[in-house]
Amino acid sequence: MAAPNIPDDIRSYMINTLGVSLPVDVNDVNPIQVSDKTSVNRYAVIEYLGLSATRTHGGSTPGSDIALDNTMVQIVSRHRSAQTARDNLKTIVDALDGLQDVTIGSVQYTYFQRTSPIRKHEKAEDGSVTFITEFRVQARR
Amino acid sequence: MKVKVQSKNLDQIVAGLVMLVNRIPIAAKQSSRLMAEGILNDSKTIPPMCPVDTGDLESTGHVEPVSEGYAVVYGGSSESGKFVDYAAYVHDDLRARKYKKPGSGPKFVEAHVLRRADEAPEHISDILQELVDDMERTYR
Repeated sequence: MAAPNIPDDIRSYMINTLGVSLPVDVNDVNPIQVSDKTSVNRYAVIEYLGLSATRTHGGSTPGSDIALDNTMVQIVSRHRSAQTARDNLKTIVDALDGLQDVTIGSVQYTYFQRTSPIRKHEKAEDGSVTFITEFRVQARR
Repeated sequence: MKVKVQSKNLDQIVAGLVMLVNRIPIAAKQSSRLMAEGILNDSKTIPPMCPVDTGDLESTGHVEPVSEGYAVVYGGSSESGKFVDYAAYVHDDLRARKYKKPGSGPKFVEAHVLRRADEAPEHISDILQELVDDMERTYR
């Protein structure tokens, strides 16, 4: 079975299940465009390296011995209002942290565990503020 | 009903256990320091490495004692004398960008902590086994 697109699945969950109305970028944060005010307020889900997959015996084709995919994701929330950026991220954290055995798309996610506090990351020149936090995520193949 | 257990070498067994109890925290602290030094070295030699522009950030990397053991720390006074207050920003900024030093990028400490965490149980097991072997050699 192919590797799951974990940040894409989290994006789908945020939009379809949590009802997020702001844009959600995947694996990067859309830059702020001066001409487009709607480019500022948004989320991003970014996957990064560090954890290896949990493997089982055997498997004749590449990846077929992988039982569980373990990964880290950073959730980013940017908004013109610092308080809203933080509140938006906290809503996502409250919904995801501790979530277990949920199926998104056709992938079963065994757990979502927050590994770092919600913290301010950046204040841009236009005054918008970015908050971030990280999760450890495990998905079953 | 009373039960009396006697052992000819009970004193040695107790002394061995006392030695073990005393040495485990010391070994844990030493192990924590070695682990932190390894992670610091990884953050400068194995991708993702600490990004280098002026070299100030990289020069602040060090290991320092904390209440739980030892920690890898970036930020503070650099070798050039400048104060680096952007270590966390560089470390956590996952937006795509071009770094000057090939192989460098964000999460240059966390990625190595996560990778080494996989090896930690085996490492700790080896240390404990070494202590038990030492105890047996001393009090046999």
